[in-house]
Amino acid sequence: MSESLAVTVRDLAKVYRGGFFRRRVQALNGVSLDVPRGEIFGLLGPNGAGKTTLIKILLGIVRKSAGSASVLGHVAGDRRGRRAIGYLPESHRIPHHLTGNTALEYYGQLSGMPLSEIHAKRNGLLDTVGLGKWGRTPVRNYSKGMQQRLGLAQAMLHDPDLLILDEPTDGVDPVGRAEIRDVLFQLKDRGKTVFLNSHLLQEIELVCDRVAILHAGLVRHVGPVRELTDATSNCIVYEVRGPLSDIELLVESDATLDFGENLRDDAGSTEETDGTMAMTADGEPDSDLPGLGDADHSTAPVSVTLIQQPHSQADVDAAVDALRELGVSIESMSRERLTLEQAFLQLLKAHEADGSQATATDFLQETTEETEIAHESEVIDENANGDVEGGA
Amino acid sequence: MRNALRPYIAVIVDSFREAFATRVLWVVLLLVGLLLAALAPFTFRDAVAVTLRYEDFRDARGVLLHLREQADKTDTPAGYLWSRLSESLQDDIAGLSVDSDRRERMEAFGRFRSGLNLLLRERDFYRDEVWKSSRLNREGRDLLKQGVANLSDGDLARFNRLALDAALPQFLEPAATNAVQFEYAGYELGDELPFRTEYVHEIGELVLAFVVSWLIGFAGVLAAIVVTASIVPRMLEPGSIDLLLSKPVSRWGLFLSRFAGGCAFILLVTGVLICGLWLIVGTRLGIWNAGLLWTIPVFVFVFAVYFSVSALAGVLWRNPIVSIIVSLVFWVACFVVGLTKGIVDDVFLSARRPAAILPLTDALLVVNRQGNGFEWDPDAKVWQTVFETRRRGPGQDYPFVGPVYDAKNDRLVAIKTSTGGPPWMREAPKLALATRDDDWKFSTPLNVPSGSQSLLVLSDGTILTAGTDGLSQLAKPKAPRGLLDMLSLAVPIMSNSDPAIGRFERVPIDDLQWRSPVAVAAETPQSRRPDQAQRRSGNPEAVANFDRTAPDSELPEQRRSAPRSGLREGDAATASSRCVVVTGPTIAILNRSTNGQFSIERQTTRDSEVDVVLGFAADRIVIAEEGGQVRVLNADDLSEIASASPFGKNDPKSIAVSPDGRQAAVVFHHRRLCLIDLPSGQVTEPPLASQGDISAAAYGPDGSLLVAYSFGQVVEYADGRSLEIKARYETPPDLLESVYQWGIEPLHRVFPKPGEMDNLVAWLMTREQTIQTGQGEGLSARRTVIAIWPPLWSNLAFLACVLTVSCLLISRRDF
Repeated sequence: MSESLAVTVRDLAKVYRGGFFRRRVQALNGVSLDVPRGEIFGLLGPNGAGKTTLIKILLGIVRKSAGSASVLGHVAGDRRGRRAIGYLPESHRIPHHLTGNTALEYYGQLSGMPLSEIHAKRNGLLDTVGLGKWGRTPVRNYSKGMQQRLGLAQAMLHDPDLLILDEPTDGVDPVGRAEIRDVLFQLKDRGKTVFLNSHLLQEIELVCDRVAILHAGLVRHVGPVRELTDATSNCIVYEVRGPLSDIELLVESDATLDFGENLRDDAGSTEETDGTMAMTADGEPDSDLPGLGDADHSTAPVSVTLIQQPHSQADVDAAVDALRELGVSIESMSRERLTLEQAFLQLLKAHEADGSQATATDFLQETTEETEIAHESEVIDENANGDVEGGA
Repeated sequence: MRNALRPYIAVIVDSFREAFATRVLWVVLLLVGLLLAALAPFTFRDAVAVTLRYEDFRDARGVLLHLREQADKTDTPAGYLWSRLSESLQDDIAGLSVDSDRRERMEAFGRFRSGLNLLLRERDFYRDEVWKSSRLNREGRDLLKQGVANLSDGDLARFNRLALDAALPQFLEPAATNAVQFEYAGYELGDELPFRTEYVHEIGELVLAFVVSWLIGFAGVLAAIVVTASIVPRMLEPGSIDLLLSKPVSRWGLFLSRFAGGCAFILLVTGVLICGLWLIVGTRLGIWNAGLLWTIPVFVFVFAVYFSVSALAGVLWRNPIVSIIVSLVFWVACFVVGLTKGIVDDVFLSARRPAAILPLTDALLVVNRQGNGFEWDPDAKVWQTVFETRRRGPGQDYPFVGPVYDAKNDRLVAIKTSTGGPPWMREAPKLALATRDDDWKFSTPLNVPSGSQSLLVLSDGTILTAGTDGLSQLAKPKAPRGLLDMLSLAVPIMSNSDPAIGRFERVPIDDLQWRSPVAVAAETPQSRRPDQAQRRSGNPEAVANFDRTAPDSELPEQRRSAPRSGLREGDAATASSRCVVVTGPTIAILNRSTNGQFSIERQTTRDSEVDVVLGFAADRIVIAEEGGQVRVLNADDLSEIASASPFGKNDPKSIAVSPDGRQAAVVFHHRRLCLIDLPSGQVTEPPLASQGDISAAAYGPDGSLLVAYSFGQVVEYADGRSLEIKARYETPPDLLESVYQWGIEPLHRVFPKPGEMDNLVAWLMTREQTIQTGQGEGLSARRTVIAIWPPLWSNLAFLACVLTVSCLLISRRDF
């Protein structure tokens, strides 16, 4: 393991056995990833993907079933390693009898800090997280966001090299989020490594250098954020206006054109709808063009967003020709960069779809090995969600 | 080191922070403060003993009958008293008969007592002419000199009480010299009580031990279980435990410090409560008992045992309610096991423990605590029941003083005491006789003098009793004395004489003040050489040099009879013509001359007035005192040769002296035996297998030492020096004993016994390993041996196990 790596995980697996019949639940299924020092690393994944399990293994709160994991050069869970980790658990609960000040005393001492040192750092730290005025207030009077800030403060108190933050912006208002973002950047500037676990993809997109997408106990993707979002750059987005029935007809006849799954949640695309065109309202990945079938067969022109994933330029030309032939006016046409969220959803969609090689392999450099494991884990995945949370 | 401990100390400190913040600690401390404030006004002061209490009556029926009989002789104190009673009360008393039921008698007696107490306040109570023949004590005479009219109300009442005592000496205990009056915030609580201050302290300590062990050991621990049940589950809450475990601390360290935090919380509360209590009883009652402070760690330990279970449940289920339920179930289980053991042991089996061994030359008898007699059947090798004593229920007191074997008449002699009911309404103690011909069935022909505490049987068969009234001798019936005797016989409930056996007559001994406690022991016959009597009267110094090895050929009859020296279960002994008496602070050797007159051979005064058991062998007197001290005196000058406390403050129960007079065996209430080498006075604890289980010991006629243990087993050692086993008189255990021995006892042994830690509390406060569970006073009362250290060890082991399991679980678990 390299000195330059903050976290190294190899083939990590975790099986929970819980419940009355000691049912097996595979939470992690051979996860491998590296996080270099000084990086802000994001971990993404749907509920039950195994994100929290992974973090808990890194901290020694949960013991691994197989594989290896090391943190800051120590075996995961080693007390020396933990000394240099600051951890903010998901939906943590700081005991309510503490105040901001005493909470920092308590957790600082648990990290092995002498009281004098805690007192010296405490006020500055509370200021940093925006709790400067609330040090004497009991935690039970804190809002969710304030508790979150205090949790962040305790994680930073002992000046750890690695911060593991599980949903740090949970319950924090937008201003607070921005503040926390700034804190994370400061940490990065000071050479700290941040391991961020969040479902707020926007946050991740804004701060993370790299992300890993975890799904059903497997890493589906690791790489810079841009790599994910750029992967969709061969999509062509058409803003068209014309009779709906015609457009439908076209989409059905042309395999490269689609508007259900790739509809953008874009305000501009719905401005002229008369309310019957629900397909633009929602970006549900598996929605079956809601409202479309039930719509009145009006020939009145409506605005529709179409997304094409062309195999070649000929596909694009053909689509334009077809649209024009039907008298549909093309209001705009662009090569689209998806947001991280869209990319994430696409990716998950690809994995949930039975033949996962179809669209996903087009833009993700997945190894075949991973795909095979994905098949195996499908069954387990069904149960993973509830049990992992209940059994932990 | 400090750095390594810092996180754990932080956890402990946090428990306090939590306790303060959640106001639990404040509420508990407030309650403690209120309790202490409620106790603080309780105090007592010295007072004069005036009031006549129920316990002051030695013989309730006796006094009523006496007054009734003397009703028309107003010049006697009794007749005068009768005349001062109200008419309705006179009618009530006169109306009592054998047929009157118990309640009626008690009511009449209660009103009689109140009537007398009212009389004591009256200035014209004392009349010179009535009291002319009664002797007031010194205090009374001093008061009388001042003139009754000049006395203050308090002194008047005191004087009247002394006069009353002088008027009815045979029926009343003399008024105590000291008394105390209990007060609460300046208000007097009831009558004054005739206690010395030291006695109040003693009683106070017992009450305190009881209150403390129930208040804190029971209610307090239960409350503590509830209050602390959430400590561990709260630590393990999701969101909270993750944060803790991410810190560089060990899991078991975290758990143990959290556990210690709970204990520290209880330590604080208990500490405040006990220290407050200690200060209050110290300043208000004058009881400065350091043992009370020692109970603080004991209670915290008891709590820790329950809390460990609660914490384990917390680790397993992470739910405070479940923790409380599991702890309570555990508490009940401990209680049930302890109770079962206690009931079977104390109530059923303990009644089977031998109380007296009677090694006759041709038979071996044992009387158990229940009062049943058994004879060893050498052919069948079993104990055959020879007599049974009817009892009201299991587990009551030993119903005898004695018995003693009277070799001359080949019979057993005992004082049969009644058990049950309040002391002043009990049947008068009776003389009990059993002959071999009658299969050792006891008959109770007549009452012994009231207040008889000890029994002596001399070698010529003379039966004597001793008590606060002095020495009484059973005199052979003389020729009928006419009408008076006839009259007294006509009163059926006053069976003080029997035409065939005689009646007890008081033995006058000049210059001997009889007062409680009274103990007597006859000289072990064989230890006395025939020429000693002369020498003793002439030249006491010469006695020390006589040759003990000379055979006792001169006394064949005594040889045949077994000496049962000083068997307490009531001091009883066959006796030669000498005996030792302890009465109050006096130790005296009495000598009976040939004409039957007793005289004091020599006497001395001891420092204390504690109860004793006695042994007497020629030139040595063994005095085993309440409080554990054993003294060996030289009988020739009553100087102390040696003294020791072989078992701390544990009280002795009985003394046996070997026939050669060279060794004595003292059995203690906590069932241990020590042997005393009489010439040197050296006390040793023999390494007997049955130590701790011994309830009686005696020497056989040939000098063998018999030790009774368990529920009716006897071992005979060839002598008290080699301790070589000569014979065993043992029977296989019956079903109950087997169940106890193989089921209840082992289960109880391995089970944690947090509830029995109050034994340690009681011991810390009183330093006695036995608690009195029977009626009566002094060393003959039934006592229960309490286990002090075994519960501590089993609890420690249990605590260690539970904590280890909890630590393992918490270390191996995923959170």
